Amino acid sequence: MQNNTKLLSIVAILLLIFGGLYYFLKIVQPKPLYHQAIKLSLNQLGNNELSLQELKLESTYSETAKSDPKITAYYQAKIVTRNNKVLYTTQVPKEYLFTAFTYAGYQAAPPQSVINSQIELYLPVYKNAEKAVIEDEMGNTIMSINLKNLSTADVGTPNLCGNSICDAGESRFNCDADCQ
Amino acid sequence: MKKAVGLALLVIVIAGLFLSVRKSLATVSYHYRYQILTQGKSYPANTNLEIKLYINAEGEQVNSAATTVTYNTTNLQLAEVKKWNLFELNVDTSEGGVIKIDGTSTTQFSGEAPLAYLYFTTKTAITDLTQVLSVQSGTTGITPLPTGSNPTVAEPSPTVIVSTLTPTTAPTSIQPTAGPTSAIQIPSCPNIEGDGPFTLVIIPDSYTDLAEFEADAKTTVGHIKGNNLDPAGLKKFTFRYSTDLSKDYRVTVNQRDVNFDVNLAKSTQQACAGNGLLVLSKKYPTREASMGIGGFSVMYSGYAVVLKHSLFVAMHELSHALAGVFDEYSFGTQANSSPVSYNCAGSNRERCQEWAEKFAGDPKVGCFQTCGYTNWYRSTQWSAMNNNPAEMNYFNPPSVEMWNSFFAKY
Repeated sequence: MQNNTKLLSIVAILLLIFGGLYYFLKIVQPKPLYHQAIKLSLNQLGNNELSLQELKLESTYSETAKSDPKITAYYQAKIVTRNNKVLYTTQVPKEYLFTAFTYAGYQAAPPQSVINSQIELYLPVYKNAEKAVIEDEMGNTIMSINLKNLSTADVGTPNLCGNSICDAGESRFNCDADCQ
Repeated sequence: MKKAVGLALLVIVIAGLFLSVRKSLATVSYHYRYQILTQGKSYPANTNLEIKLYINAEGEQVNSAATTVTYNTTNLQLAEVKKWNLFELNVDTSEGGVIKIDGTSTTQFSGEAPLAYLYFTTKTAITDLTQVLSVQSGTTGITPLPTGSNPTVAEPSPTVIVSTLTPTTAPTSIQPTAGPTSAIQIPSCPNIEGDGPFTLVIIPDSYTDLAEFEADAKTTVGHIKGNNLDPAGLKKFTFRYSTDLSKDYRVTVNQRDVNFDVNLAKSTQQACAGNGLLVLSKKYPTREASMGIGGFSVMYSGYAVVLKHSLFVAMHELSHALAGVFDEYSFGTQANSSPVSYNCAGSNRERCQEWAEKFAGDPKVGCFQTCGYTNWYRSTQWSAMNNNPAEMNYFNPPSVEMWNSFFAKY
């Protein structure tokens, strides 16, 4: 009986420790800034030949990270911290495969590959981001862009308070109408 | 003795300093090059030449550039030097045949970026531009290595197209890593219905009447939901539309190819917090005007376009764009490779056997010749991935499985 109580106590303490640790890790996990995105424009001049066209902050939603094992030729964009911790990774294919629905009686064509010559990405903005790194599918770095000079000061966010939805970034403190 | 030790230490320190300086120099590798944007390899007299100048800084973060372009004034007349987005430029053309360019950028980067555009007019016929125009290495605040300094001339962007796909057997689709995005209301992007984690943004192209577009968007949502796919899976969608009628997405269909402005559509998708997009285009009023094409999409990308006269093909196109399902009607040609998508079997028909075992209770399932390519095989006579309008609401079991894999990611 006493042994059981002891065991239960140990389990409870362990649960408390791991639960606390999980909660701590969850709250310290960096979150991207609301309704801000780094618009990164690249020209693909050839395979693994990229040139940086534009880098700016925009007041828009950042894109969901994507990957697909069927796409074998792609670039990978990463947002990393000073300590090289990867905050975000997404993939963009080197080529697009266009396919069209064609009615019977008309000449149908197989899917066609088109080089993704102008790549535009909307990457999330993290306060502790140091740089954006573009790699090929083998993990070779093609480009690295310092993000420290990007200022978020000029980028506004739309005021969604009052739309009856407690949007991301809103709370009872800044939008009581939506988040009661 | 003490003197000798002291001297030896001094030599070691100097040698160390020398090596460290050499090492820091050795890590610097950048150069300038130019790309001739004007088509052709030889240019008659009085041709306008457009040339793009690049800086390439590998392995080094830079935010300034400086180079000198030298040209033969007998052959070329300089018209203009234009800045590009990244760099603020100082240009000195006071010396004939020499353009000195200094640029600074607020962005530090490694890799390649455009520095400026150069515009010339040819005074004489030129067969080899490298003989009359060259770019020298300059400084970016770092001493360059001589080996990286030679300019290279590149042809315009390559047009050779190579397939990027390799065969796999398991059905797969876009793998999201972010959480749900649905329950928000965005001005200028009203929700149609649904509150699932995958937000599909329906975008108007060539519409002038918002009420007409709204009605078409709602009809399209009806087509997307009106089929035999798992209702729980279809609830993973949130349908939202853009009310901005002002943008031209440059939808193009002709016998040779289809295209649209992917990046403009993507910017609208982002403004509406979408995960995928479906452009409804009114540009081609009839089937004949669009060469028999009802819609098109980019495989695995989340991007699809449907023409107004064929709204019912929306789910067919989304099947390509989201779930990676392949066409089952005939292209009238044979493939040289094996199918990637699970709804097609290759010429050896091995996958037909797998379908027969897996979907044994389904009387429709068999092994029918042609799955896009005439030497591939499909599992049912008709389905939504074929081109019979009467059968667009039915997905065959392999296609259902591919859609289920897509839904399972959300």
